[in-house]
Amino acid sequence: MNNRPGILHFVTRTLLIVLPPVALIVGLYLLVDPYHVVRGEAIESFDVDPYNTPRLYTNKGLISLKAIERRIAEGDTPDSYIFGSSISCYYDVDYWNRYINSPTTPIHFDSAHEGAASMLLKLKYLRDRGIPLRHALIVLDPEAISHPLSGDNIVSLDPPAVAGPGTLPRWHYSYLRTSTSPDFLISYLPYLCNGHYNRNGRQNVFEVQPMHYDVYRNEESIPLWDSIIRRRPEIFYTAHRLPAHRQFHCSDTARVDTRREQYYRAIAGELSGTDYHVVVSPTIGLDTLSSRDRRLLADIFGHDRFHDYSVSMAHIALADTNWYDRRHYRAPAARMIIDSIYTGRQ
Amino acid sequence: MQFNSITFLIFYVIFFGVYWALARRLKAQNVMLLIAGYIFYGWWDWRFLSLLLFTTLTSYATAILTTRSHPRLWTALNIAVNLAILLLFKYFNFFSDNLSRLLGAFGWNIDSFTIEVLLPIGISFYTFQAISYSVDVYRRTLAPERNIVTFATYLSFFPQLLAGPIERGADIIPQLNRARQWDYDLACQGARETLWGLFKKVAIADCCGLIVTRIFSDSADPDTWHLTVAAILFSIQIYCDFSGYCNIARGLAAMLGIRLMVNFRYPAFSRTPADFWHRWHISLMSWFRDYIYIPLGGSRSGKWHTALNIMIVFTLSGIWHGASWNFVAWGVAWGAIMVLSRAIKVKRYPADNAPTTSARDMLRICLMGWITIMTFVLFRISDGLDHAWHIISHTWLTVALTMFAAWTGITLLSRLGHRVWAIVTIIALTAIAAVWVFAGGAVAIPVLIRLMLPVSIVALFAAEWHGRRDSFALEQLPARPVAARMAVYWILLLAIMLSNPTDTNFIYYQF
Repeated sequence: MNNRPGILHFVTRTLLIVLPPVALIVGLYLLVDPYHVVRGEAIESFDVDPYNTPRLYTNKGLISLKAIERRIAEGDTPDSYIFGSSISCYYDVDYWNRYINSPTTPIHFDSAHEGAASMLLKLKYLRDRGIPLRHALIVLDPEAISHPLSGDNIVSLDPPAVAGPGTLPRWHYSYLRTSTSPDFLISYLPYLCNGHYNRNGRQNVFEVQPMHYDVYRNEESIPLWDSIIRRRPEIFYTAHRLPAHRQFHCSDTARVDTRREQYYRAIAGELSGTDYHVVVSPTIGLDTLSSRDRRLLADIFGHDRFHDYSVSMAHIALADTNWYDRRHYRAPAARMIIDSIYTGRQ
Repeated sequence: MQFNSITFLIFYVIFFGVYWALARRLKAQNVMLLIAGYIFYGWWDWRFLSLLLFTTLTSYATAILTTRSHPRLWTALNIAVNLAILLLFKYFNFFSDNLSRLLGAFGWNIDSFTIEVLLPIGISFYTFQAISYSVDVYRRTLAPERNIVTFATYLSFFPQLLAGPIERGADIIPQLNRARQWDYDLACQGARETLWGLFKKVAIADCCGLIVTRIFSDSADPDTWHLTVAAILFSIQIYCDFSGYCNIARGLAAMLGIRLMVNFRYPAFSRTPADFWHRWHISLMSWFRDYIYIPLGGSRSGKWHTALNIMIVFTLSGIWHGASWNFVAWGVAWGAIMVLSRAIKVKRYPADNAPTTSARDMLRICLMGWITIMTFVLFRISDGLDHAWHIISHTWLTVALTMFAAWTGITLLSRLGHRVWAIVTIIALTAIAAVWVFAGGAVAIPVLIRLMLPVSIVALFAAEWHGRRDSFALEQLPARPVAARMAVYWILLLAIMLSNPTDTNFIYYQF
């Protein structure tokens, strides 16, 4: 008895049953493409007027990459980069350039929830494309050092251009699952129809901050909030409460485990020949590095290039007006840190 | 790799094609199964392969030696080796800590010695399978398998390797020694059961788990209402997670022409404690019955000895589940319940007796539901015995009231005609969904779950009630019209694909 038709019949029927709902889901993803990862218009969707057009929580790593590619395409390849997670977002590249005097405007190359592995991939991306890296500023804090080594959701995944073409299926699969989840659609579909969106409880599909975006510098700013903080800080901090009690959390816990150490050493290797600085900025909760981590990172990056300000610049953490929220300090605080790196003034 | 992952889908599709391409070559098929089993297991952690290989070789060798000389010695040796592995990896730290505390209570202060050791996934399942094989060979109810590939495949059969069912050699080895013929109906049944298992795991268990986790992470001291929801949903979660896994395992095996045992027979519809244990984790309880309870004397040695045997079996069953006092307490609680139900001569139902819609059966089912939920609070939901007692003391009444309301509603509904029943059910579901949607409250539950989960849970129990005489809920679906079948398949597929995109392990992997 020939079994093959039976098996083929089974496989065919299974595919006929499975394909329609899969095609529906995939078709929805390709048609709607809310994150613009299929048609490659991510940066256009990010570079919008925040007061009139809500912005999706998107992959900042992808936006950063597109911004750099745009500068290269325009013949204005940057040679100075600020790396880090979202805590590096409000570092003013022009202010930094006063110290490094780069002929080209520096640019941010950051990602949400940046980890060491992710950062290394970015450095390798620049090196593999022959992009000069004359100056680098790596912004960390004790919490960021504990981030997962690389991203694991659509906001923090490394784009395939950085992580390698082998990650393309995972990239699109993550976006497919997110873009077609009803939680996403319940927020997004009303926005498509009438420009308004549902907050959908704690599922933040859209950004809550009225953020301005400078695509040339890949830099973010929130002038509305800055204005409120300058003029009426009590109004702002009533709506955006900060932790009330702040005291040092001196930690003996090693945040730099063996794997992180390997990645940081590889990062230092990639930065050979580059004028770079690595800064550990204070957190609002006054977390500190353990002495073991401090010594290790100083050994990896060099004592003159590694700056642990988690204790020595704790005054930043104590002034509310230096913060937007419990994780992100504002540009004035970032400028103080840059001043300290290059002049020693704290 | 998880069953509910794209990686496994690709793995299985490739394997399926190669496997059936070798349909007339039994040895090659078994070698493929063996390789697939080791790839599957090694994907979690390649270091675990050495343990599986060690268990395989010792069990294989000692079984053959048993037939030559000193059968008791070789069998005892294999049992000791397997139990030693289990004790070392799973229970060493638990016993060390508790011994240190016990000695400390008598004034002998010693530092507990603990070791950093990973718990190999699925170890409790394959070691029990190896032990059952050894004992069956010793008892001469099974001839030792002389083909090492066949035996190794029996222990490493990937659909059931990580979380059961705990299969007996007498059931699987003959199937591995026969050429598998393509059986279209069996394969379709397998595909259907796999789909059903994925629905239970992804659309129900994982969503319940999300809510339970958030209830305990959002608040240090959840109120009674939230604790009640957590207790009920956790019970549903663990049922759907484990039985869903077993459905998938059976389905995947069926598509390869191999039949695995039914491990769950609708325990949600149990009417008595004994009935429950004829329906829940059948392979484990039959293992304990055949290799612990009956050798200890079973129920043949007087009522006190029988009670002791029952307590021993259930305490060991609790310990099998995990190295913590919660699991021990769970086992002891169930032992006490079983002893009590025997003592007051609670009615015993044959294993294949299906419950009816009578008010009495419904009441018994709801009462058993209450008992099961309360005992599952001990199982894992709580963080220590004090916490478990806190939850039980705050929820026993609200869960009882919920079960009573369910009994009242279902009993009344069953008195109505089918169409009225359907209309009332739809109205009830809509009301439930509306309450959930607008009552987000302190727990952030994604809208998806608030809309889909009540519907999915009701659909699950309705389907399982309808199919309670079958091996799984959708077994009789082929008898329905094509349109109805396609609608069911597509709804289940969409529910699976649209469920919360989180990667969550099967709960019983940790055992």
